[in-house]
Amino acid sequence: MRLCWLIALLLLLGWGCVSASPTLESSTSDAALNEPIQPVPLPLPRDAKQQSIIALGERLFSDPRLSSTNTTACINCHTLSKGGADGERFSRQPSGELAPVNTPTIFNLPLNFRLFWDGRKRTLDEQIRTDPFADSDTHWDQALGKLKADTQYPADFATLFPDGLTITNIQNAIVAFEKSLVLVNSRFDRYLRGDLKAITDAEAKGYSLFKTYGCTACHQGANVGGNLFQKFGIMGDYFKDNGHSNHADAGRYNTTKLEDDRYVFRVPSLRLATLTAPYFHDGSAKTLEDAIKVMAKYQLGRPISDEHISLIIGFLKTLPGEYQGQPLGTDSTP
Amino acid sequence: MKVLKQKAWITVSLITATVAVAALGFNADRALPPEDYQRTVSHINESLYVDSRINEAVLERRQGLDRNYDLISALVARQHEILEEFEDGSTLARQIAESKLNADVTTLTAAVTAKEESVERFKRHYAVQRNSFQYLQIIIAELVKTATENHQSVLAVSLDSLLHEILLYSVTPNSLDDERVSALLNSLEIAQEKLPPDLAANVHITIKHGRVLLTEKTATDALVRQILAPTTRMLTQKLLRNYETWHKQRSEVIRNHQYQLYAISLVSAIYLAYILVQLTRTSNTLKRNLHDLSNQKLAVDEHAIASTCSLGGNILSVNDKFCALSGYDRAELVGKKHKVIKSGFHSPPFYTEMWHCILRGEVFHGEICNQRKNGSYYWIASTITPFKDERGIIEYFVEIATDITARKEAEQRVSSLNATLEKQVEERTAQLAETNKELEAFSYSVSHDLRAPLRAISGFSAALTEDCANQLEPSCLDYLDRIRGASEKMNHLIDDMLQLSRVTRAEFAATTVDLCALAHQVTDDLRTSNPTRSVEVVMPTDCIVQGDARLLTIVLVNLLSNAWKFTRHQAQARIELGRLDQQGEAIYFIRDNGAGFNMAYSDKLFKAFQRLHSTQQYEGTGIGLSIVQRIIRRHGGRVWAESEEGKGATFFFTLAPPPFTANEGLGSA
Repeated sequence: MRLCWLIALLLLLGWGCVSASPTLESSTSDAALNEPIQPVPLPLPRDAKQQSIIALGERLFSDPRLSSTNTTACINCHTLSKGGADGERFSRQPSGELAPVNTPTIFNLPLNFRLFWDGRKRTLDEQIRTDPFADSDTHWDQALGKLKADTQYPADFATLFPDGLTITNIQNAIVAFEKSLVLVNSRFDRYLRGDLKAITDAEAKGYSLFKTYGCTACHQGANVGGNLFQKFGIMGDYFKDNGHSNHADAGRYNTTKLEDDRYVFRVPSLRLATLTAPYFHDGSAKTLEDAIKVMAKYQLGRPISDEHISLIIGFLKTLPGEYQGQPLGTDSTP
Repeated sequence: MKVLKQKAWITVSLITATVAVAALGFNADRALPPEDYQRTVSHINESLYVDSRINEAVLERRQGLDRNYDLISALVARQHEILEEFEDGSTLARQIAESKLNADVTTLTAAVTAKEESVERFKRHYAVQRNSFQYLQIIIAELVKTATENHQSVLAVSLDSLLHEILLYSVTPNSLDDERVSALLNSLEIAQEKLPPDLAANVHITIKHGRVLLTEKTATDALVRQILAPTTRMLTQKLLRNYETWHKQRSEVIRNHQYQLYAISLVSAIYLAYILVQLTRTSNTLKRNLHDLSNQKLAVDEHAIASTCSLGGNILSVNDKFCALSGYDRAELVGKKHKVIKSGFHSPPFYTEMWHCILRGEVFHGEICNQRKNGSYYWIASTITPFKDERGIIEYFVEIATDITARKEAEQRVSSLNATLEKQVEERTAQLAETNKELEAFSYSVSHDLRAPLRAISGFSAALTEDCANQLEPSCLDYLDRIRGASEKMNHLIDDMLQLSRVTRAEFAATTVDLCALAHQVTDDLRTSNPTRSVEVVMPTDCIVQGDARLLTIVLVNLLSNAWKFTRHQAQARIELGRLDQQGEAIYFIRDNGAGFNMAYSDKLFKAFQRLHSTQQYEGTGIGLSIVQRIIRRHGGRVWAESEEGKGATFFFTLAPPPFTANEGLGSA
């Protein structure tokens, strides 16, 4: 009797191994393994409570009461339909002043190894709890008071958090929403995952050029950048050539106070590059063409033809991905 | 008391020890859950693992095996998180604080941060190096082609060798190659000036990238060396080692503490068991005692009148007998003064003495007369016992008493009876004395008044015989002899009667007397007065008795002279005086081998004036044995005789009342 069970078990195991092996092989593409750019990992499924917290975070993200003047919500500068930014060179703050640097996209932040142009924060949690919010002018105590007076928030928080409406929970909800803003399943990701028809030949050519021109020396990984620091102006002095250098231009130097870190910035992700003009920390490049030219000259130290630039732009257009199942921007048409 | 104190002391010290050990080990116990230890160890191990993975990832990236920085960034971020968890107030942070390894963690954090910084710089410089290296391959290939087309073979060759060197250089971490690349670049720079402008521009770019490559590779190599340095690994291992050492020590402390607890628990358990056994024993003893006591109380209540009384004289409790005897209900007695049953029979000093006795703490025994509710009196034999508390102060008195009313009444009857008796005795004694006096007077008158005519008869008949013998007929002389003989006999009778009455009335003075000595005197007298007779007299050397010497002499005279008299016809007369001991009683006897008598008449032997033989055979008045019996009786003894006709007689006598032996006692009962 026992022997019968043993044989049955062995057969079952054997069958399991045989049937499992082809699936493993088909799930990964040899091509993708060797590429400097990797597909954005698909998010884990979320339960109803997590979904509710994200929805709550989205409402807070759009709520101007979080600013002291009740005029500006997070979403004012991080407009989801504008690639998670606002299209301005410098966003206007509630105080009326302009921000010192160009607003980066709110998408794909968990894929970045640091936050802000100068990389002064590591995580979204750290950022929302410790950054003085000079840019957004949020005073948490004030914001909490205003939200407590709201008809809906206290009840919503009470159902989702044991301790109800608190500053920490407001921040947690916003962070949960921000973390959900990861774009997946772009045409290029599908290409990397083995769907060779997901991008056109021209776009594939653009990718090839992107690699050949050395762009992947920095713009690599799942977020096509965003995972290392780099000095702006390796093969030439960008700031000297442009004739100005302000506080924000010092970049990481402002954090470390090391001369070696002057003009060093976090390498930006290019996932949403086609949707988030203007470019660079100072928004000095109005178009992608301009940006690519500056990059070729100051970072790569080599000339580049307009034809190649447009082919590379064509490749960049395959990168953004889908938000809530819908392709963002021009991603949809190959 | 001493044992109790000792037990209390042991209990207190046990509790103290338990509390002390528990308090001592409390923190240690709480601070060391095994899951915390495992979590800390695995956390430090993960840091070690991530550290080595960073090294691997950096090497892989430098060798071009990995083509992006995602892995390195993720590892560095993870390492950062791991170290932050040591300081963010979590379980891990508490463990570090407990084990006082904060300094180790701080040092490690500094080293890890430095390493992270090196990794970030490596990424930066390697990206630049990588770009120039890649581009140099492309541009040199293009230049070689152009140079060959323009017949710049020297340039082509030197470019080719530059490419060759660069390819080698970039994969080896050898700084010696620096100089060869540098030399080639220098020679290119010199050659550049002679080249056509478009070619020169590209050569210029090549040289620029070559110099960037040299700079960046030098920086990258240095950074890789820094990254691969074992500092972080050693510091992490040190942290782990120190933590485990601390944990081991702590565990030992806790284990010791546990052993102590076990030991104390064991001792406590044993002690508890001991106490339980003791308690059970004590309780059994108490139960038994209580049972006995209740039985005794029952018995006492059945038998005696019992009550308790407070120091102030208030009745605390009474038993049923008390109530029954006194005629009061219990409710009428309890709480009242003991005086309610006071009879007034005893004088106040009696009660004062009683109270003084029991208040001194001594037990009072006495017979008390009390008064019933109906006014009648009753007597009790009372024992009042004072009971003291631990300090020696009297708490209450317990009175146990017996109803002796009946006895008291009997005693009264007896005493009144005695009084009557004594009076009667006195009266009788007086009468007796009167009678005795009369008897004495009678005896006196008999002896004197009767003797006087006798002497006349005897004297005148003798005078007749002497003076007128020749004038009288022989027969008349015979008559005169007979008259004189009869009057002499009468004189003897009177003497004996007087002797008998004297014996009865004589004073009795008991002394130590030797019967044999007396017997010797008597037999000597007999031999003197009958010198013709030969009688063998046998007796022991001495025979000491208690008695009246004078009276005993009379006894011996009578008995021995009887024996002497009745052996008259024996050729070999033999008289024996001796002593027998029968059942502790000394019996004296006088035996002869004379005529003896018929035992059928033995009851007549000791009666006065009774004779078994005729006067013709043996002379005598018949009063001797009667006197003997009276004297023996006055000594409290008995006298009896055994004989057979013609075979002698034996007279036995004792000189004291027979001893009351057990057998006789039982027999008489």
